[in-house]
Amino acid sequence: MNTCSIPKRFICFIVLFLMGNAPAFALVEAPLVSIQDVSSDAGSASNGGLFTIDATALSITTNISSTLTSTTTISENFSLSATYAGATGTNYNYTNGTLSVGSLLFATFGNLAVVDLGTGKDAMFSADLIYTGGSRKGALTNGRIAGMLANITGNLGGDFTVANTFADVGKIAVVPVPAAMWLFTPMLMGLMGFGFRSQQKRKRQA
Amino acid sequence: MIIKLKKYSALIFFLFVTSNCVYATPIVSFNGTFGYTVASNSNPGILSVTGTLIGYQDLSFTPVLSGSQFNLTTVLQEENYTATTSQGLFGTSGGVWDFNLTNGDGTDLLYGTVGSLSMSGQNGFTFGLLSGNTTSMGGTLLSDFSNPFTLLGLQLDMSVPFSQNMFQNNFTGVVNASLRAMPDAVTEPSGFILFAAGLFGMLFVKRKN
Repeated sequence: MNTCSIPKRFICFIVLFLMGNAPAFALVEAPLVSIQDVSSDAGSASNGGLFTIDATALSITTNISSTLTSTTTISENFSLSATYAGATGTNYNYTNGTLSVGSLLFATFGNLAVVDLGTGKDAMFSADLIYTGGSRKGALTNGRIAGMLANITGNLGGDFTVANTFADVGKIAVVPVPAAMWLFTPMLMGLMGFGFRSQQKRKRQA
Repeated sequence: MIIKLKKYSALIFFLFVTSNCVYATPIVSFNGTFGYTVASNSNPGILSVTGTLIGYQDLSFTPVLSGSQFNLTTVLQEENYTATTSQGLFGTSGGVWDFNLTNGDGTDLLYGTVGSLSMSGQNGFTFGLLSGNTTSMGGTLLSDFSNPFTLLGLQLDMSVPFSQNMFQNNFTGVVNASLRAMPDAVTEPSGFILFAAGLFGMLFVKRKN
């Protein structure tokens, strides 16, 4: 066996492992970002067919079990905008959407579904996301946002304002891209160097 | 005109000050996990929430987020189902307190009881709304949350989707929520400073002339 091919196969495995994260189209998986509106935010509203959310990302949760979460507090501006595309029953659809979480995450989405909960003042929303950039994108290409609009004034599908907004976006990269790069690159170089030395040693022995 | 201005200055001052009020809304935000345990024997179903503080605003006391903890325990009182939505209504557990918020140093920030708590969502979905009324009994933040206040939040990643008879099964999930008090009117000092400066300016100009 050619010893130089061992680190190459190992490297290929690592690259595929990093790229091969299954997209989460149903659940908002950890690591996830928790978002709420605070007093300095404009909140959520729809005006003239443009739905916008201005809120704050308060934490990143990296580990969730039934009894334990691992949470880091942050304070990043969250913004979302999308254009009203029509209604189907109690589902109000918004398209051509973009969202950002500070410089951590940028994403687009084709359809944001806002669903009337039937209480007359509450609705929930969700969308599958396509990640386009940010330090928490990593090797991920897809994610999901799910959220709640509580105490709505106005009509869904028309103009409305929202008193309280909650949302979660996930999953995001565990480690920001620059840190991952600094960790991964030396390891890669070390593996290549190890393979080269092994090859040289075998040649000398031969 | 200046004489009339002096005569009514107190009234003008009062009206100006009270009209320049902003509203402070005490809020503590937390996230964590929740679990529902189905009723057994004579015990009702129990909803438990455990979390960590992730933010706050307009508080009279600055909490330590690291090491903080939020705990809530309520019991199922009623289930409501429609063709498209499901709802569980929860009430007080009957203990000393239903919810407890502890600071990072272990002291009590807030504790109290739950009047009513609704967990609702659309059938088939694994996320929904948590909404309820709570009453504070004690803690460092008692003065900020003295009125009946609300617990609002998002439940997601539920292991059982909203559906008929969902509360006949155990399930868990993630919660992103906050305790929100009624807004308090706060006098804005900058408006008063501007008004006083303008008043003195007018008096100065009159005296100079």
